[in-house]
Amino acid sequence: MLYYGGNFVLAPSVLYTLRSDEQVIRGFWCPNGYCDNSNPYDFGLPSSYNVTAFGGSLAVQGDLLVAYVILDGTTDAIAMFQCFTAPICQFIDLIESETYAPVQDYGYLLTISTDDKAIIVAEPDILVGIVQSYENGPDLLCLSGKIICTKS
Amino acid sequence: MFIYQCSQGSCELDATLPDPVEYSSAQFGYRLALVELNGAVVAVATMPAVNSNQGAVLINTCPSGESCVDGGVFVVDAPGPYVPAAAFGTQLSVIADQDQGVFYMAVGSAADIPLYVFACNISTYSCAAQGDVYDTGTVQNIN
Repeated sequence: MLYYGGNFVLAPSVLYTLRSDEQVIRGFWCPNGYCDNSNPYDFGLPSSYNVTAFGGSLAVQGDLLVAYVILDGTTDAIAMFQCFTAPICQFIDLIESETYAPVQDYGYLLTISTDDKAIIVAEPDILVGIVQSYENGPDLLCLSGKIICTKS
Repeated sequence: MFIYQCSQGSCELDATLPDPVEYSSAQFGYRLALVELNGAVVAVATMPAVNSNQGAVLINTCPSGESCVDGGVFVVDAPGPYVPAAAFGTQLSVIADQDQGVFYMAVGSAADIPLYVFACNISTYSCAAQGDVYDTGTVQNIN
C-alpha cells in the first residue's frame, strides 16, 4: 500500500508530498486548503535515472521545487523541478556534489531562500547554488569559497 | 522556544517562550515554522507526544513591531480520531495567504496516516481543519 504524510510542503493552492515508494512526488491542487484527493499528479525523474529513493526532503519557492534523491543506491543529489503549471512539475536538472565529502546525505535537508535565489542544504555554511535566471528554467550561478555549487 | 528578531541577517533574542503549562512536552518545538501575515509574525511550533500522547501545535502571534510575548497564543489539537495521535506534529509546513488573511498549515506524521490541512485565522485565534490528504491507492497522471 502506498501512503504519504511523512514529508510534504505547501505552496500557494498546492501541496506536494513524498509517496512512500520513494519514486515519485505527488502534487495536489489545494484551493483554500481543501486538497483534491481524487486528482493528484505524480512526477519524478526521467526513466533514464536509476532512482533508489526520492523526495526525502522537499522545498518549494515560487516556481522552483527541489527534492533530495538517491541514485544507483549510492549517489546523493538534488533534483530540480519547474512548476509553472503546479501541481504538475517538470524535471529540469540534477545537482550533484563534486567536491563535498561524504556525498552521502547531500541534500538530505533542503530549503530555498524566500527570494528564490538560493538553495541551501543542511550542512552549515554550504550553499548549493544561486538561481540566476528563470527564463529557460533556473540556471545556477556557482560561487566560490565555501560554496560548492555544481550543475550537472 | 526562542524567538529572534532578525534584520539584514543579524538576529537578536526577542523572547523566550516556556512550554505551555497545559501542554508540557519534551518535544515542544519538534517542528518550527515562521510566516508573516498582514504585518504580523506567526510562529508555529509542534508538540508531538504531549499529554497522554496527544500531539498538538502551538501558534504564537506576534503583533507587528511588538515582542512575541505580548501576542496571542493558541493551540490546535490533533483532530479526532487521529491514530496514532502522538505522531501528530512530527511534520509541518505552513504558508500564508495574504489576500485571504489566513495561513494554511499542513500537519502530519511519519506514520501510515493522512496528513491534515488547516486554515488559521490569527484574528480569531483559531484553526479549522480543511480536510485530510489521503492515499487513493493508485498512481495516476504521471508526468
